[in-house]
Amino acid sequence: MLSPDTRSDEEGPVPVASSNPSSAVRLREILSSIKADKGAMVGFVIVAIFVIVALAEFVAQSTGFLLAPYNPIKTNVGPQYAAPSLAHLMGTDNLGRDVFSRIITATPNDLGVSFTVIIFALCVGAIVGSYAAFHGGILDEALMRVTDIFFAIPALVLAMSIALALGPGITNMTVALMIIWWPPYARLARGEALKIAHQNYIEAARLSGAGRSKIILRHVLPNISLTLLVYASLDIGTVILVYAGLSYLGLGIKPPYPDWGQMVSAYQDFMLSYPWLPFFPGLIIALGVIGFSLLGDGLKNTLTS
Amino acid sequence: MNTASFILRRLFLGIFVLLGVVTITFILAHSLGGNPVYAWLGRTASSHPQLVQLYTEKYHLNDPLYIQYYYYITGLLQGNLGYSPAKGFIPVSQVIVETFPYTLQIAFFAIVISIVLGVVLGVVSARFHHGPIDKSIRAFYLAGISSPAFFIALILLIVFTYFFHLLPTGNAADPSLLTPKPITYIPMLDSIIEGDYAYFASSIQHVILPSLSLALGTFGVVVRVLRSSMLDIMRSNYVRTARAKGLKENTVFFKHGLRNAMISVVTLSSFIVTWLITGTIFVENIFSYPGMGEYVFTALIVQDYPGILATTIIFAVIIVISNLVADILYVVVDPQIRLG
Repeated sequence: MLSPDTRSDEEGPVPVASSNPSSAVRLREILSSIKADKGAMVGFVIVAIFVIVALAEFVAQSTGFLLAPYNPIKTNVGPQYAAPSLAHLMGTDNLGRDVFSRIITATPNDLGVSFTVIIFALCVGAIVGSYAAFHGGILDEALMRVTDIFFAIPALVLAMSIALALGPGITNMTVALMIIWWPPYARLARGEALKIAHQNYIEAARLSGAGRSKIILRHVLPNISLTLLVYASLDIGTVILVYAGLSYLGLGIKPPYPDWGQMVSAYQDFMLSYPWLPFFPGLIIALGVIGFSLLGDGLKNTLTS
Repeated sequence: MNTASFILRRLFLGIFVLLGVVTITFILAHSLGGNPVYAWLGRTASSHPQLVQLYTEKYHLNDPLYIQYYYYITGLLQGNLGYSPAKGFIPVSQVIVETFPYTLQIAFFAIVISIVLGVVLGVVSARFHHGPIDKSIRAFYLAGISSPAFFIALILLIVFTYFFHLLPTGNAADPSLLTPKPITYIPMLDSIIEGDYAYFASSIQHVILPSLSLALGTFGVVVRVLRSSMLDIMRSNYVRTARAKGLKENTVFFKHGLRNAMISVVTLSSFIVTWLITGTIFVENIFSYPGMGEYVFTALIVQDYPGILATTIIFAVIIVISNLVADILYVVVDPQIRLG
C-alpha cells in the first residue's frame, strides 16, 4: 500500500522548524498557507465534507435518527437497478436499496477505522520510538529489527492473516490494523528523537535531574509531534485504502450493513449492465484518499518551508 | 566497509527478517485457539475427524511449542508448506509453482509500464514544472495513486472489454490454445522458446489490462520522486557548471539531470513491489487471471489457512529479495553512497 514517505514531494522525514511559537499562532499560519495553496484547499474541503458527514451520521446512528434520504438496509425503497436520478442520486441496487444512503451510512465506519488506527499508531509509535532512542542498546536494536520484519510483509497481507486468526468484523479488522500500523511511526519517532537527543535543552533537563520518562514526556514528544502529525495526515488515506481492500475481501462489516469496499465487491457482478453500481462506492474511496493526501501534502509543504 | 561485506550484512539481515516473518506466521497459526489443524483444514475438519488426528500426529501438535516450531521451520526449509483445502488438498508448494509464473508475468509488465510511464511523465513534469502540463500530470497520478486497485481494474475492464471490445479478459491466454511445455515454467517465455507465437500474442493481449491496472497505481510515485529529484539536481552546482560551459539545455537536462535523478527511482523498488503484490490479489481476481493473487483470493474465501500463511511467507521472500537487489543496485550505481 501507499507508504507516505514516498507519496510526498520530498524524500525522507520532514525537518520541522525548531522555533516554537505559541500553538495558536502556528495554527493560524498553517490555515492561511493552506488557503493560499489551491491543492491543499481542495483537499481541506473534501476532508471537511467527509468528516462532517461522518460525524453527523455517527450522531444520527447513535440517536436512531435517519440522516440519509432512505433507510440503507431496507430493500425496495425504490425500483431495482434504477439509474442515478434526483430521487436516487447514485441509483438503486439489485435489492432496490438506495446506493447514496448506503454510502453515507458507511462513512463513519471507514473514517472511524482510519482515525482509530492512526491515533493508536501515533501514540504507541511516538512513545516506543523515543524511548528506544533514549534508552539505546538492546531495546533500540530489538525495535529496529522488529520494524524490519513488519516492513517485509505488505500491510494488507499481514492484516489478512491476522484477520483470519481473529475472524472477520470491523472491530477485529481495526485491531489487526492497529497491530501492524505502529512500526513505521516508532521508526520515524526514533529518528526524530535521535536528532534532538543532544540539543542543549535536553542536556539542561538532564542536568537538572529530570528522569528519562520526564524528558521524553516533557521535551521530546512535544518537539517531534509535528513531524509525526504530518506523516500521519499523509497516512490516513493509506489506512482508508487498506481497509477498503480488507472490506472488499469480505473481512469487514458483514452485509446487509454497508461498507465502501464491500459494496464494490457486491456490485461488481452487475457492472456490465449497471456500471454505476460499483463505480460510486469506488469513487468515494478514491475521493476520500485524494482529499487526505492533498491536505497532507499541503500541511507538509507549509511545515517544511 | 567495502561492498562485499555490505552485501553480506544485508543478506544476513534479510535472513533474519525472513525468520521473523516465519515466526509471526507460526504464532498466527497457533493463536487460533486449540488445534491449528482445524484452521489448516478449515471446514473439512469437522467432517473428517480422522484427518485431524492424522495431522496432529504428523505435525507433532501434542509436543511442546518449541518442538513444534522446530518442525515448522524444518518443514518450511524442505518446501513443505502444508496442503491446500482450496485446491483439493494438493501441496501448497505445488499450487505456488503453478500460479507464481503467471503473477511474475503480470508483475513484469506492470513494472515496465509504470517505470516507462513514470519516467516520461516525471521528465515532462520537471521540464515544465508549475505549468498547466505539470498540474494535469499531478492530477492524473494522484487519481491513480489514490484509487484502490480493484476500482482501477473494474474501470479498465468495463471500458476496454465491454464498451470497446478491444481486449480479452479471463485466463492467461485464449483457452483454446495449449499452454506451452514448461521449460522455464513461465508460459510467455516458453512460448517464445518453442516458437508458439499464437500463444505468445494471446498471452500478451491477456496481460495488458491486469498489468496496466497495477501500473496506474504505482507510476505516480515514480513521477513524484523523479520530478522532485530532477528539480533539486537542476538547481545544483554541477548543472550550473554544465550550463556555464555552454551546453544546450536539453543536453544538460537529460545527461546531467535525468541520469542522476534515476538513482532516486531505485529506492522506490520496495514500495512498488509491495504495492504490486497487494494489487495482484484484487486485479487477478477481477480479470480471472490464474496467478498467485487469484489463489490468495480463493484461499481467503474458503479459509485455506496453509495457503494464506505460505503466500505471506512467499510475499515476504519476494520483498526481502527485491530490497536486497535495490540496496546492491543503489551502491553500484552511486559510488557516493556511504555504506553502513
